[in-house]
Amino acid sequence: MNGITKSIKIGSYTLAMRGCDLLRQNGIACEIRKTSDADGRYGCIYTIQVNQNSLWSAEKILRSSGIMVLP
Amino acid sequence: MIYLDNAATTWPKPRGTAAAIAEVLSFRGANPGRGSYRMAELSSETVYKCRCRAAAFFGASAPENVIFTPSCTHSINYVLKGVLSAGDHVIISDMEHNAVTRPIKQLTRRGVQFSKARVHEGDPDATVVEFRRCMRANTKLIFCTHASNVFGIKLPVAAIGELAHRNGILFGMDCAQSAGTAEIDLRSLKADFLCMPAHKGLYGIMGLGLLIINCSQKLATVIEGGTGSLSGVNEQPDFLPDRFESGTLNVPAIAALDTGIGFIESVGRQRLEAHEMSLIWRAYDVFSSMPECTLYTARPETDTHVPLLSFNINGIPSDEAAQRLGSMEIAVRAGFHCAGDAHRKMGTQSGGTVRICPSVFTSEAEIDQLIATVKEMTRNL
Repeated sequence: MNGITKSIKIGSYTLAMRGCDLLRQNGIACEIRKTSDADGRYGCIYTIQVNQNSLWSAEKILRSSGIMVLP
Repeated sequence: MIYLDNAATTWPKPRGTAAAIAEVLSFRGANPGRGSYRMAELSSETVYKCRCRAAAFFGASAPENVIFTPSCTHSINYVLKGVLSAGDHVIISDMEHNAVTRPIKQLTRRGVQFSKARVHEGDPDATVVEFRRCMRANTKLIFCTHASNVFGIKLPVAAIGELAHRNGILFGMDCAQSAGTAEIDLRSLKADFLCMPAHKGLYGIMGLGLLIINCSQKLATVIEGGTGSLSGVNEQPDFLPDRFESGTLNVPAIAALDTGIGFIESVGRQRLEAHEMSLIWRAYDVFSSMPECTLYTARPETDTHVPLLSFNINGIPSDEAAQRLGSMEIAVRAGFHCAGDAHRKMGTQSGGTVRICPSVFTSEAEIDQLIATVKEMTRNL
């Protein structure tokens, strides 16, 4: 991915995988990364990395597909 | 060896199974859903691929609704103990495996009540009436086998599921003897929970079970622990599949299951079922004409039975018959098959039965060899 990327926090690897499948089907480039959230609220989480200009659409697609996006 | 113990576990496994396991052990051996390096990603992808394939095969609404467990027995325990608590009532059938009856017995010590509905072979309406008769105001769950592991008799699960849902009752199925062979499609079947092993009709290997959840009911957990997700939180995750997948998954077995389901898809489930049933007919038609043999069911049909057969050779205890067949390189199972209730129902509690179950790899010649051997055994009776 080129340009500025943004992270969408997802609880589990399975949901992140399904989320990425959905985003790619909708033409949105993405990658999964395992990370630890900065404030330690959740501990280990997965993020879906998308371009900044796709963030709003990506979150909308994920939420409408029942994939829980962590705040 | 002629292997006819496929109801216990299918053997041999499809070509490609051993290679899939070796691939995991050699190149994808990291812990799935934990690390962020390439091999961990490959391991996670292996799990996700199989989850997607299983979800599609059984018509689950999403891959995360497929939970990997250590066995079908674990899956059943997760459902029974996750749904039921003191004061609840559950209905089971009178043909259940001990994987159902024993957890139920344990749950009665915690104040759970249960009823056993009588199964009427060949009369699905009467069976459904029995389930309806058992219903109470506090019935929370109907849980039954899809098909008896001893006698192959199928329960009318579509109608039982309808009955359950019409009355606001959850419905779960033990698909140990039907998954991979009989039709199970959650797009039409009103089942909330499917429990199944990987190593039987799905042609996977031992050490893996599936629990497919098809409802929004939040089950209580039986096992809690590390899931690789939300690790900073002491509370068990409430989302699927992590809620029920604490501990490291059996990735080699998951890779084998993926190969197994792929194999069934390539052969065609209906074709596989028809082949196995034709072999059962071959044995049934001969044994039913032999006065020295006792059979316990009507001639099996795919809408009423799964392809397996219990019989006895009169005058030879089932264990001895199985031992003698085994000594002639024919592998069958004898005894109670971990289902005492089914034997008490069918009147075979004094010595059990000999059970045969073909797989897609069984040939007509092998069944003919079984028949010839049984005939030989009856010659000196």
